[in-house]
Amino acid sequence: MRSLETSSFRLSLQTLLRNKSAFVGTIIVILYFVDALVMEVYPKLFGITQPNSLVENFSSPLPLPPSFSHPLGTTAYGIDLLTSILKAIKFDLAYSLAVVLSGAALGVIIGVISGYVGGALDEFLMRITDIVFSIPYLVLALAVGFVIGRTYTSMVLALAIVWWPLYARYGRALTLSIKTLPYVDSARLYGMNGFKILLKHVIPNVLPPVFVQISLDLGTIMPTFSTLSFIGFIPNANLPELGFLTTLGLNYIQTAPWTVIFPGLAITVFSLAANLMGEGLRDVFDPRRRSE
Amino acid sequence: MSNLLEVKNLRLEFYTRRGVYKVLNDVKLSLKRGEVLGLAGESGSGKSTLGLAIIGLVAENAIIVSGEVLFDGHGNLIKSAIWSDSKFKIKKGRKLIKQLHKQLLHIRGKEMSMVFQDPMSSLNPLLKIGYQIAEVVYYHNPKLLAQRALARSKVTKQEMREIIDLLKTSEESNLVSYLSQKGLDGLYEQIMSIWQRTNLSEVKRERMLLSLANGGISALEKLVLEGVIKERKIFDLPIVRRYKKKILVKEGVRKAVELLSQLGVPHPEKVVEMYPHELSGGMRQRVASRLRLPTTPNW
Amino acid sequence: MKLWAYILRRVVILVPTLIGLTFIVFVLSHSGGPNLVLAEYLNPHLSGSAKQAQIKALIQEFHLNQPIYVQYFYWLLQVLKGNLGYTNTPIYSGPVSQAFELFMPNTLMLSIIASVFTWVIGMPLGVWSAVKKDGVFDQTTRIAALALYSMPFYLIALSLIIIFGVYFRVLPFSGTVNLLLVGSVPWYQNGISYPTHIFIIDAAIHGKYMIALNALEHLILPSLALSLGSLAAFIRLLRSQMLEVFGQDFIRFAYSKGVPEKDIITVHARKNAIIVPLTNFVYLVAFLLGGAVVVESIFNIPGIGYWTTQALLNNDVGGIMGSTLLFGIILVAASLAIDVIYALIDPRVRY
Repeated sequence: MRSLETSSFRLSLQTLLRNKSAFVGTIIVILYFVDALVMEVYPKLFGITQPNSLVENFSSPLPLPPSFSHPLGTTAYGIDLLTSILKAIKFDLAYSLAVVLSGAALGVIIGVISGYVGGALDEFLMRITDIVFSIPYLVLALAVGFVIGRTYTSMVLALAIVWWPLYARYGRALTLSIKTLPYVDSARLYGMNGFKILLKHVIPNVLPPVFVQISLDLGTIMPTFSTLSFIGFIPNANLPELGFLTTLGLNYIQTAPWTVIFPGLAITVFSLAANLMGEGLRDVFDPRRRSE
Repeated sequence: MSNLLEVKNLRLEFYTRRGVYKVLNDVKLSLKRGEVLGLAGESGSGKSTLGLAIIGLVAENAIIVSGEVLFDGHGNLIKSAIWSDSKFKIKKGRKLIKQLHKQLLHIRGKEMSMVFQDPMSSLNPLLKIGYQIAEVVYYHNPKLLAQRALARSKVTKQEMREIIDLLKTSEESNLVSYLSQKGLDGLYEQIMSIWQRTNLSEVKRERMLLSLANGGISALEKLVLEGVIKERKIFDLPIVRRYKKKILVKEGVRKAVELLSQLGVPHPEKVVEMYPHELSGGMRQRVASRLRLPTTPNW
Repeated sequence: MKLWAYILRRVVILVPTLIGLTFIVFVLSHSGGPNLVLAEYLNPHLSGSAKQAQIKALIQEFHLNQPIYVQYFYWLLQVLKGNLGYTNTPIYSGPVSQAFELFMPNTLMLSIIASVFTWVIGMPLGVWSAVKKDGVFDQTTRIAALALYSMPFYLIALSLIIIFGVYFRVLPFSGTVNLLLVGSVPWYQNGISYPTHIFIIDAAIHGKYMIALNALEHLILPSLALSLGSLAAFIRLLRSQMLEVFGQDFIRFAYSKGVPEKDIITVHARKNAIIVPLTNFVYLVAFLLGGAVVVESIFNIPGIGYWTTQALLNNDVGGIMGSTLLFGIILVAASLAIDVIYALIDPRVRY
């Protein structure tokens, strides 16, 4: 039997590592990031010369099944799937990260302030949050696109706008639950000022769950983002992006299903991995699960 | 007199991520009928764990390494829960707990029960109090409930007046024989519970007793109630069971009112319709403790 | 407080949300200039001098020369009078209210079938995978749910098409009915069936059961796609709530009272665990009613979602505002429903 003496960090690490699925998930997520990095910095490593656009091959414009020279096959216009997916991962990952991080940052700040200050400010901010929360992302994305033009940037902007209410609510709920804890009151009792309390007590307790939520959301945003591009948000797109790649295969769905499956699979795998990783992290941070 | 409860060499351990906690090390105790044992100790010393182990409500990650819990002729309650494996697997832990649940189903609530530390959390916040009390009687003694309901439907106002006279003039045993003569045994506790509410005037009590004789129930209800008394299996079928539960629980709530008034809880008819969060803490604790043994006839 | 007073209070609180929502979208879509209001309320079938005349009238009525919030006010006035403007999209051109009437039935059918399916399948799966935690059933359910949860909606739809439409050739996956069958039927014109616009019902009314069956077949895959996507989240939520409830004291207490395990699950645990998933479910239904854009596009079902996408992609302001209004109302109604349900189930919510 193991001894009862283990430091808290080692315990957390042990927990994460012992959870096999979370471990695998984390590895996969890391791999995706590695691919994105390579694509950005040194694409030649994978033998890719044009990392920012799709390479067409009009000599064989019809999709070809997976073969030695095209491990995942080709899609419309002779575009090789494997290299395209590798290129696309960078973009999807970057955009998803942008959405989640900006949404989380904005949302948490608003939520914590709202929860901590309370009163009329809280009511007001929450009203606004509710309103924004009820806007369907599609409508907002298209409205934003209408105003500033339909680009990937406007998609990121729109999604971030739709996403921050979630973090605002979450941050607020966490802040409220910490605010009422006795030790916050006792900190006030011996004269600690409000801002310090915020910094020393509230933030450290809000950040870990938010961090977990970010990991989980990475897994949710990427499919959503690709869905927007799948619908055809961007007219005349030619950027390697997983949703767009899927649309290329739509005409060939009956004859060449792989054109549609593989890009989607790339998303699904990442989303799955991010979810597993997020859940593993949640197990680490949520003290209630410690007793298992 | 032999021991009612005997615990021999009970060893229980908890498996956590931080290692193994040996909580109960060779615990021995014995209790005779009518005795009261008080256990004092530091927090974390295992008092609650011992109590929970006796009633079989151990946690998933608990291992009973060895020991016996002998209760009132039921033999060793935890015989099947002793770990034989050397390795800890939580799946096995869960399976053993489910086994314990099945085995101890008929003892819990009937012959052995537990009052928890925190009354706020021991009651289900979404269910009415009356239901939560009635539940116990329903599962352990449905016959009693059926008898009560049937007796009420059979008795006539005239008979009720005779009963009232009996109460005022003679002794209890006469009442008992009168009732069994007429086949109205189920009526006994209802009558006594009203009669013993001495905080009400005699006139009021008489009126309440008379109202018991309100007579008719539907033929369907009668059929089901009689079937329950005769323990016919047919009433365990899915849809029929629901109806049976509904009417028996209704009766159970009436009994809950009696139980609460015995505790001195004011307005038991209202309390029974309320939800746990609507009671004060003290009331809740009284209700929770009342759930101790509502099925024994001798309290 | 009585229930109706509570409901009234909730409605009052929700109205600003609706206004806020429509205002934001209004501002965004009209930021291109007053021409867009014209586009919204201009009858697309007019031309020449009639068009000029209407333009003049519209400018007058909507105060298009004034700042945006004034415009919004007048737009709101028109809406309250029932005038929702015109929509001009490739699949349909005409009054917005007509568009609702034509497209809603299809979306309704899909939503109903998908919601029912999700609830009926999701409830037992969620409850039992929590009860038999870590068993084979649980693990399989969790893996399947996680996989579905991670897939983008369009992938679920496309995979279903590939499996059932292409590989096994069992089910149709485009449109709502096989056009060959309805070619010569009097109650079908221009893609719309009369009187209820729902193929199944209309076909049944007219006694053409083969057509009704065919229409039903067409509904299977899209509904399946919709419910598979939502099932995953529902089951995961229900499972985690059940597990949380299991850890609570009153469950232990119920066991100590001698309540049999089955009843603990169905009476005690389930009731407490269902609250959050139910909330989620109502939002889901609202989302479906608003038109599940992806599924409708892929399966070529002329529903609200399809029309909305078309409006948005074509900058059809009338359609944009109309569908936003619709969606806003549905969402507000859903929030209200949730509040009421909460009040009914959980006695701790005082009203």
